[in-house]
Amino acid sequence: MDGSPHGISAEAIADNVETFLIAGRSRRAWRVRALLTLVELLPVATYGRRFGALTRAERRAIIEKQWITGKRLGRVCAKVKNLVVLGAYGDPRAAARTGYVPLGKRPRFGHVKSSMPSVTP
Amino acid sequence: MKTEEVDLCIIGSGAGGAVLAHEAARKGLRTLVVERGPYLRTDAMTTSEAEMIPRLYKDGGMQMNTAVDFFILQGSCVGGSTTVSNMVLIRAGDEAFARWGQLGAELPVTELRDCYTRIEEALEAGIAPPSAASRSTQLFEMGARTLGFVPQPMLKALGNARCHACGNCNIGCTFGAKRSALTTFIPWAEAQGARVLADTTVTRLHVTRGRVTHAEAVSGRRGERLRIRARSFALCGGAIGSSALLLASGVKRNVGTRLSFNAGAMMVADFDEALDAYDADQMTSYVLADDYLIEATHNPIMSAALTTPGWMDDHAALMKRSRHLAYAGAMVGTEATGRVVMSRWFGHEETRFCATERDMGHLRDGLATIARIFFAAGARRVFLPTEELFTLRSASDASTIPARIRTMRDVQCGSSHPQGGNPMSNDRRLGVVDTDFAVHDLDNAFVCDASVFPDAIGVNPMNTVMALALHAAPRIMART
Repeated sequence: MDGSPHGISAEAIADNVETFLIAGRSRRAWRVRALLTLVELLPVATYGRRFGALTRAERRAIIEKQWITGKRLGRVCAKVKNLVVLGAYGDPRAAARTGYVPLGKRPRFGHVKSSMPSVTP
Repeated sequence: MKTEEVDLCIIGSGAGGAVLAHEAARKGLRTLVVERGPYLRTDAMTTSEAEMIPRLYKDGGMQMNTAVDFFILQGSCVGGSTTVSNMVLIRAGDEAFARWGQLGAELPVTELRDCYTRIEEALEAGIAPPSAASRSTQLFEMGARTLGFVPQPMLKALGNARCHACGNCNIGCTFGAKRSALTTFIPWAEAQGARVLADTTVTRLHVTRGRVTHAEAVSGRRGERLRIRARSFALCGGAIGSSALLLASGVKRNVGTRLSFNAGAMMVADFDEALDAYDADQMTSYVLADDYLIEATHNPIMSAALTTPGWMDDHAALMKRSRHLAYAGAMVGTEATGRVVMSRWFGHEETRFCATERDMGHLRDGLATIARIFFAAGARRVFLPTEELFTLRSASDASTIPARIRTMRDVQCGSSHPQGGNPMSNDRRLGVVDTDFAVHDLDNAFVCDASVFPDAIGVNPMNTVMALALHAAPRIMART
């Protein structure tokens, strides 16, 4: 897609998604990769080109007409939004631009120790 | 192949397994807890969602139903889902136990109440101080009261004196304050001699003449094979995991059936004032109606972005308003129409679930109530949890919800509370386990987790799972 409007490049988002998937050790990671393959190849039937080779306007048209309001495979493709959002807003640079302050930078946590012992009754 | 020999092998270290392990170890049983996920102690946790979600959640937080339209979030680490929960301790209503009784699962309610009390005391349950509530929760409560609802303060186990209300409960607790199984029953069980084997997956129970002889497991990244011999085996891997293990072991009667959820969807409201709701306890109060429960909540930024509706420019515009956004979810105890099955092609479990029309009706009612509450609290706009962005601009717009959300496919819906799959019933035709938590067809196998729920209780199930485990422990030990 076009990357985050919060200044994160598409490549950085893709890298973040890849890191996330590798860390997850999911037995179903194949499903995510199958989804990405589906997203990439499905436009070949109508546009004769892969999703990544389409123009911005063409990609937007697919998302609006086939994914958001579409049915069946389009609806399945729409799940890729979660990956993009995860890759974008899981990145501290994008998060910071929304006004979100990570815990370590909140003034009220300046004095707090980072670990405490559990208590046995 | 390495072999372990113990008295009781507990498979799963979450709410059920941890309590059972503590009770068994306390009574002197050689107890082994086997956990698929990592043993991530609180001092090794970080406050990064991108780092913690893939390490703490099953399938890296990507678990969905077969139709890919319903997210299912479960912890997969020592402590199970309690490690990533908000530690809400709501008791199941008496009507839930009455329904279960009609399905052949008559439980002694008075005794269970005592178990609830013991769990709440052990976890130092308490009501969060008013200062822990986010501004969005305060507004939600105000709106609810304006409409005549009575928001209930949540009883939680956050170790109030130590909790900093940082809003990161769903990615563990770097402060070690949260009274999850990870910081309570598991270390208590270890102190009594129980052992925890993390990063180890039990792949199959070997059954001979109605008795489990041993469990096969693979351990660590290199997949070292392990054999576990025990006098008894307790399956505590949660609604989906325990059903899957029984199916993989060839135990099939009723297994995987009556799967239900507390299914939820999130509404988002835009207020004029900056709320900064992320810098507070994620949830501190709820509104309970007949058919749904509403929890005002807030997530750290990545999870908040995932639950924010809209695409591309719409989504980005909303995220730029994130300091002003308030979130609340409607949660519905669904009918027990789901099923856990083993994939013929891929060798792992699949979860089949589609909300019924009754479930969707309750969800729509809950979402409409949230919209009205937010507008009563002064929201400018409220957004539906749909793929296409639908904006409500007044309370009267809530009447359009039934036209926008007809089926589960129309709504961004999911659950952190799967229940059932190994339903309890003394009637062998209906159940997988009896009221002593013993698997009907096996002499020495028990199930002690949310999978035994005959149907959804409609409220956060952790307290009930723990109370049931406390109730089950002497019954399981008597047969071990």
